[in-house]
Amino acid sequence: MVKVNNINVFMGKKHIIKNVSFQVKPGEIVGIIGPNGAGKTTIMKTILGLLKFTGKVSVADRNVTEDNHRALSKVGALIENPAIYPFLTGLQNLELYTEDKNSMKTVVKQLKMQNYIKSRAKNYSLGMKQKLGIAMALLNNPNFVILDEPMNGLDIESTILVRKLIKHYAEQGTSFLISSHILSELQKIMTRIVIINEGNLIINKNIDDFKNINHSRYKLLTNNQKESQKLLQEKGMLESQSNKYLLVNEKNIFSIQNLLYKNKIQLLELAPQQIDFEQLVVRSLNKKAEEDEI
Amino acid sequence: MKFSLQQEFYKFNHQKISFYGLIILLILMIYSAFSNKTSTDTIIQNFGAGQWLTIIVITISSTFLSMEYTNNTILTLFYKRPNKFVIYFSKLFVLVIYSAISLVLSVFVTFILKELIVGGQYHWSDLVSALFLNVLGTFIYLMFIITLALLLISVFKNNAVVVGLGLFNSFLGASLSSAIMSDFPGSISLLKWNPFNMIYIMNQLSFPKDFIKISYLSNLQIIIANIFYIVLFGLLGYSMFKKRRV
Repeated sequence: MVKVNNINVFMGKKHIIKNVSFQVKPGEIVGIIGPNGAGKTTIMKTILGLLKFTGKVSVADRNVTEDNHRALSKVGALIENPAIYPFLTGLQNLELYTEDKNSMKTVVKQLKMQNYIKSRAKNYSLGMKQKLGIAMALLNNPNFVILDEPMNGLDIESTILVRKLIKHYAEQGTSFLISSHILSELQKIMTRIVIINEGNLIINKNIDDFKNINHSRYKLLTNNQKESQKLLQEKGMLESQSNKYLLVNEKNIFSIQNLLYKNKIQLLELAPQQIDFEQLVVRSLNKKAEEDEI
Repeated sequence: MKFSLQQEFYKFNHQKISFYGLIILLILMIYSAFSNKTSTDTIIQNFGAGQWLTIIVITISSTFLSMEYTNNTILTLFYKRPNKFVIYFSKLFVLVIYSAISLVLSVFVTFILKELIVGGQYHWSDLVSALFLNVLGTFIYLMFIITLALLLISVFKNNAVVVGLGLFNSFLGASLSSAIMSDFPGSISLLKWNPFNMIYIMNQLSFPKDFIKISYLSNLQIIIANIFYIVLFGLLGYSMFKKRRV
């Protein structure tokens, strides 16, 4: 559906996006994650042909360039703040871009906007504007939707509604590229994760594969932690430490047990390290930073 | 292109500033009509409509483009339209049509005001051709103003700056141009082409004898020079608009 191939973006002499490549398949929900200034919005703008870039971006096998946006006819987007004319009503804002009035009515109903859609948008709250921005992105049954921080300003009920709606559209074949600082929300819907830092792509994995990284580390507790640490360090099998535990790689656990047994050290605890999604993302970012320092 | 034009007309019609522009024009024409002695000259000049319209049109033109950046709607416009030329041209076209409608309205109001104030004192047969030339000159100059406003907003990105420069051009531009030419009489053949001198087209076509002495340009020269600036500002404006980062 969407192919981003080796794109580079420069702002003046500054290299903002560096050789980034990834794909979004039909029905896939790709979460794009990274710290502030990592380049997430820049990548989104590049896909929409809003910036000058090198490399190749294609949507449904048609190339997107800064001067040609014909490939984007079935693409919807919400970038930064909702793009709304305050002097128009919500409905008029939608009418400006709608090709199919039934699709417009459906989106309004799906986002439960019927009560205020005929009021002027300048009187909308932040959450109402955000929902209108999402509605505009979902107009005309798009094949691909880009959502930059879609949950901004939404209350809990609306957040759940939007999450369900994204899943619903994805089941119908619409692809999504979504960025959000609320990782717990993204985690619930995304099927692929792309992590960006300082313009570099760090991780591009299926979400299940990414979560499995979690189980590749085991925490170890023995009756002689000091000696165990020394032994593991000598053998290059110690990854790091966390509180009272030594952290080791899953692939070494049998060798480690043998090593401890030979040195008459007794095993008290050996279990997969349980870390949450946020920690996993932070760890991925830190790991890349450490590699860069080396 | 058709969809883009429809969209721009739709926005323009719903933006109150276009309606307010016409109301302000009407009020200022009435003010001019009742605050000055009515003569054939004031009737031919549409009770000052040209002067007021330059200020109104520069404000509306600048706002019509800058609101896309203020509301972040420029992003949607850019990716939804095949290219940026369609957007720029559609806005330009809408503003030119608005200027034409405003001028037609000003002529209509002039007819009413003339009948109300002086009745049958002056005959329309003596006024119509000069009035038409004044409207033609004003229309050409309004296109100059529209392309200039779109260029300035693409350069300065600030509505207040553009409106300020527009007011400066309308109130002081002509005086500045005359002052420059008086100070450097040896260079008049070159200085007479300066952009501030173009404002004289509004009155020169109706009163050529008086204004050729001020502008140092013949009617044909001032028309060609205005068209040259319209094309130049249009191309420069589009180029700046295209390059502007969003």
